[in-house]
Amino acid sequence: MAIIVATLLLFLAGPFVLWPLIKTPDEPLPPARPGTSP
Amino acid sequence: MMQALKWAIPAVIVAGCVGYLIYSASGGATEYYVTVSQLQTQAPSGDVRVAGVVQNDVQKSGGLHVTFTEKDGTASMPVEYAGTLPDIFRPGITVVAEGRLGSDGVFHARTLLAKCPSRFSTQPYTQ
Amino acid sequence: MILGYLGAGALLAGVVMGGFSALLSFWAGWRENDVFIQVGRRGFYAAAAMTVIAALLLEVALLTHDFSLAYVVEHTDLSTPTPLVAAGFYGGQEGSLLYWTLVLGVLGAASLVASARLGARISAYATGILAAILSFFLFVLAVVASPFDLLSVTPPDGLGLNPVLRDGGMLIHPPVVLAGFASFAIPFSFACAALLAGRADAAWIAHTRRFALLAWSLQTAGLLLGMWWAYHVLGWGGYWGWDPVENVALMPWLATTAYLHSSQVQERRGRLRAWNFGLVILAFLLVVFGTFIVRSGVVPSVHTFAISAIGPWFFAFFFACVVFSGGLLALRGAGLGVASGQAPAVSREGAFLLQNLLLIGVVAVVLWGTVLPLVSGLLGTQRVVGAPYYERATGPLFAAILALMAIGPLLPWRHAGRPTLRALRWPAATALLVLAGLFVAGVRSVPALLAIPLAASAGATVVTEYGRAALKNPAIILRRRRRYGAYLAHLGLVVVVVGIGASHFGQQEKDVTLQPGEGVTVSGYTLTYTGSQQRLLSDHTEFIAGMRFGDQTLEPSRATYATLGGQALTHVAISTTSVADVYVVLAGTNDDGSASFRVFVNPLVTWIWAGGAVVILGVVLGNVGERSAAPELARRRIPITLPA
Repeated sequence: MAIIVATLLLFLAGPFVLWPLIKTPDEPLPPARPGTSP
Repeated sequence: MMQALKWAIPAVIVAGCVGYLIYSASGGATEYYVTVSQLQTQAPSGDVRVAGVVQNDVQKSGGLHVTFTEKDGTASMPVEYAGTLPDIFRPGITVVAEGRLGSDGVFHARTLLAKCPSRFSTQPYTQ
Repeated sequence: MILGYLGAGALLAGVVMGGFSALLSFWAGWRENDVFIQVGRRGFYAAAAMTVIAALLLEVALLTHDFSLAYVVEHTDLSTPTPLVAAGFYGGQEGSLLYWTLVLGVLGAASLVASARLGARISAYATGILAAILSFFLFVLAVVASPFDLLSVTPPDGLGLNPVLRDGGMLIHPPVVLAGFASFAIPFSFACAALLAGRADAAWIAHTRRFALLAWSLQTAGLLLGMWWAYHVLGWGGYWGWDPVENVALMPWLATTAYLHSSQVQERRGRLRAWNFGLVILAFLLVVFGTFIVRSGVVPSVHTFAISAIGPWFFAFFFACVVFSGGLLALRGAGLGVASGQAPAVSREGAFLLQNLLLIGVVAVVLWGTVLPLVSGLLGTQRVVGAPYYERATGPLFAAILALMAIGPLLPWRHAGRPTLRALRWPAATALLVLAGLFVAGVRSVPALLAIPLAASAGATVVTEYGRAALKNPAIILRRRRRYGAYLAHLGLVVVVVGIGASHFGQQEKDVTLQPGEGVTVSGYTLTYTGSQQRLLSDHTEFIAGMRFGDQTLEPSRATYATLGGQALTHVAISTTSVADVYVVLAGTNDDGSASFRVFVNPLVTWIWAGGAVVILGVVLGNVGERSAAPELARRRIPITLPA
């Protein structure tokens, strides 16, 4: 029973968590300047 | 090199002091923590702490004076204590008595600690 | 019943989501895949949300008296007042773990929200570590110690709370301490993430400073609340017993105190980096170790903890954390020691380094005392140490720390010279004056003669600093809030130390049995026993004794619960003034009409609570609303990347 509840919750959370993968891509960013991100 | 030395010397000094403090402070202050049967068979010297369960023969006399038997499963011994009893004190609870076993076989307790009633239940509900 | 299934389901979902977030975040961080880093972070948020849901469900179950849940039965009953029912949430083993996890989830999420500006990699690794910790706790909650376990038959009523615990102290002390413990995970996670990502700069420090401060403040408040509760409710006349449970709360606090100071050296000078990583990691490891010690039952403690199934799990978790963080320090540590330039020994930086050493020394002393029973028990007969050990071993170290508190703030960052010596005359003079005053007043206790003058000199330093600022340009105090807020916290600590010094070393105690009309004098205070009343209530008999003290009557009482096998509950009567507490415990009533009392006179106890409030005030005033310009500043200053 708990497993059913867990599965339901995971399904509900899915779209929120996977949103960066699902959404339409943003405008391409300008090329990264050297030294800003390690 | 100089840099590392400047760092290392105070560290070594402090570490040495700490080590010395631990050593010297433990010397007089360590007590054995034993069970009743261990106390009766091994008789360690000095003050000890003994854990055991209070039995049904608690007797209070003269205000702040109490005697009871402490038992740990196999052995039991009489305990004599003068002072305020911990709130939770009653037959059946575990206490830790700190003191000395006298030649009369009675444990003369200087302090008496009872385990705090458990926030985390000791008795899970059984049906 | 439904609540039980829903709660268990939420915990299970949390474990899965947390595990997913951890694995994905580590992988995505390694690959620097921004999209998946974001997914991983959202996974953490979702896991935190599951925890919130589970927590809400448990609280609802408690408040609706859902006795189908074993946890609700074990910690409440229908007659328990509502606030204590609600507090049952964190009152038991499983619930307090869930509370811990809740704080971790919420604070962790908060720390991750703005973390992307630290850099994709650090942010991802921090997410991964936080998610791993969260998952562990959720796993233990879901599988080993669930608050949602159901009973096969629902009883009509619960077992209720032991009378000793039915007190306001129970409401506030545990949640503050537990929240403090949980918040140590955030600086830890970011520190390890920085090491993993090969970053040695101070950006992670600036980002997590708020959380380290929060953890420290919560722990300070938690320690003081615990002391207050022990003093007012437990009735043994003191407030600190060096019990393992207390020590376990003290040690991370000490390590974090060191860190809060030592991190300034890294922010300003780029040095002591290895120390800062080490201290933050140490604080968290102490928390995990402490949790293991306290919940596993392996060390004898006045606080009963059933030898529970979670012990081995927490030991394994502790071991994993040590290997992980220790390994990181070992692998990356070599690059951290490289410092730019020479550090003058007699300078503020030198003082901070010395402070680190001394505080770690205290941690070592306390740790040794705490684990001695465990170690000695494994090797032979179990041995324990008591208060004398702790006092004798930590006393000199604390005295040195107090002296540092007096001298440190006056030392410049560069080499100290004549101006410093001149500035030191104020604290020195104060120390001598106070020492002389104490001596004249008859104080002969060496620890008190050491602690109080040193504390006073530290206070003098704070006052001097405030005075200098006020005379030169008062606006400085507002502009440099962090520093002056910290000074205020120092002042508060000074007050606390004086309070502890006086009440501990100056305590007077007397055991006495009195007939009605008879009196007793302790330390110049006279109390007269006026007689006692007896009240019979449904589940207990209460004896209330009257002790006339000046123009007030103190009423210490003692209740006996026949239903609980004769267990007693003492209600201490305390007369508080700013000078001293007169503290009366009714030990018992006797057949001949007399009553036995234990009377304490505790000087300056209120200074402990008042000083504690000032400490918190100082931290709040110095930091709330403070803009963190620091991350950029810190990043620009020493952007050294560690050799991979």
